[in-house]
Amino acid sequence: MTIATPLLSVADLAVTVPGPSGPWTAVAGIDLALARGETLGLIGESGSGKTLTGLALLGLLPSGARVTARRLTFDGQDLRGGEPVLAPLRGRRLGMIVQDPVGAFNPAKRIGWHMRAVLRRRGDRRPDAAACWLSAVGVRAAERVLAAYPHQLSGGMLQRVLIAMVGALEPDLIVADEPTTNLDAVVARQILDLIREQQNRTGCAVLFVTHDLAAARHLCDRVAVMVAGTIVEIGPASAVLEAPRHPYTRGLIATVRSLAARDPILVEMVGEPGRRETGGCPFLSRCPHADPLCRSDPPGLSALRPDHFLRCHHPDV
Amino acid sequence: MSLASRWRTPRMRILDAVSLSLAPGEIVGLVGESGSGKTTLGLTLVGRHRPTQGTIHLGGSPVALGTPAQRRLQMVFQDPLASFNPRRRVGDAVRLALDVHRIGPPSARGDIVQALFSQVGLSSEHAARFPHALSGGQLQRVALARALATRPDFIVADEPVSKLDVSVRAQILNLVRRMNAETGVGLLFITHDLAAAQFLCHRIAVMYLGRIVELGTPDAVLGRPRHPYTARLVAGTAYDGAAGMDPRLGAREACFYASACSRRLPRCTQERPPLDETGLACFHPKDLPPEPGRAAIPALA
Repeated sequence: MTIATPLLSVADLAVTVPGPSGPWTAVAGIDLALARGETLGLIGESGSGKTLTGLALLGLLPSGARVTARRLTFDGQDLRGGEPVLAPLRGRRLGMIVQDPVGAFNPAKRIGWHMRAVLRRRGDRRPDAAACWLSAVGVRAAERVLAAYPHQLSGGMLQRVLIAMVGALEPDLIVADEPTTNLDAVVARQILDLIREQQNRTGCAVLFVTHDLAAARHLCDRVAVMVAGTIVEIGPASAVLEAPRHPYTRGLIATVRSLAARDPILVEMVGEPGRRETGGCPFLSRCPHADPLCRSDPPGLSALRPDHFLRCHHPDV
Repeated sequence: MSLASRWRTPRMRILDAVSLSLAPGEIVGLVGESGSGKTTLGLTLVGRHRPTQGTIHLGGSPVALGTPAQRRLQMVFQDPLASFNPRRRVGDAVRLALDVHRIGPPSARGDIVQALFSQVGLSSEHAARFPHALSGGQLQRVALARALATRPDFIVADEPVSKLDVSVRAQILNLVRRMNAETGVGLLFITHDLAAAQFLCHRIAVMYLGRIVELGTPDAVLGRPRHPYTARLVAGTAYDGAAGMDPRLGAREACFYASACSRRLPRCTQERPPLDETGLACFHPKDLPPEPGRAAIPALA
């Protein structure tokens, strides 16, 4: 994970959120580096902390949540400075694509109003600029879309508009949080391809937060797998998703392969996604290979190869 | 059971001349894109919508809304958390189904609830929890237990695994298959996940804009699709539905797929192809070029 001059560099990031029984550390010990033009997938199930991690980088956590990190830099700027540092970056050099595009628009304003707001920020005053950016994401009837209210467009079309808006900002880093989860498979592919085209055009880095393994394999250079608030495996997408080493990743891939192989009874993973426990391995309660060592000592992230890291006491079981 | 419903809003006919029958204990998959009318058909079957036209028969007799026959039709929804009352313990939610339909003597209903929970792999400890204290997969198990509580002939399951984590999906799909084998309950499995449909279903119906365009065994429909839309769906190739006007707003006496179809002939825009006895609604199933387009996200190898 040593990138010469990373765009984004994160060391020992933790997020603490308020809970019914006091503050609770939902994410801990996150180390990440992201190079310009690179796509890193952040894979995990619900409650694994992948969305919190993405939001923490942009300073968009819900109120009451607290971020700590040993290092949190974006292009040399220390993001630990909070809003004074982040506010000028967001919407200019840091962009975001959200899961629910409907919620990203003001329902009382037409699409054109939203596009113009973004273009003003960029200083682009060409009369046909909004239509240009929409046609860049494959919207054919741009004028009709610009005149529409958000509720008049499909989820896929709104997601396109959102990508056009992010594209117009030409940010250096885009955090895409489950951008295809609410879409049909066919539309999802189109959206992923648009994100990639955007990246090829501007050379931006993308942090792609998802639970969709196929989408991650399709889009990402590297992936990080999160379990209970911690990265348990990180490496090239091909290595992690085709020859996984962590028991969680292996179990996940086995269930997906089982469905594709038309097994009469599907291979199941044991247990349910759980919360972060203190002490021990984050995957302890669901792991078929857990032993006393896993209960007493949380495993550290160790290198299998120079670019493939694993958090497990039993990498060869 | 058969259904022919025409669901009309002031502006648009969402389901159009849909006929479908399920044998006892059969699992029929309903696949298609968002907006094709899958969910509307499911909700109409369980009496949530009143069809503008057509009837629903259960075991040979027509079903009227709000009658005891409704007990025999149950529903499992996509979003497990939204389908439970947040202020009612999940065991009580299952118990409510027994109370409403007066199943078993009141003194025995607690035991029936226990039995249902263990049938879906949960304990009495889970039954005492509120919905927010259960995971998505656990809640979907409770939803299945609640649906089974009334001993239905038939359950409409609307995307029951699409909101669940990948690690949990296989558990629920295996459970649904086991429930079907153990209790003989039939299932309308609404999904856009073709692999899941292939795993669970005895037959698959493909819907496009409110009409069934192809119906048959999974191997036939997904393995050797005959309708050009099914071929496109299976290949996962793109159809830019946003490009044109919704055909449902225009002439009904046409194939709705005609405007997107590379095999279109004049007849297709003048006449509607009916679903024939082989389970196909297309005038030109063969010997025409494959549908162009871009593939969906490739599956993991």
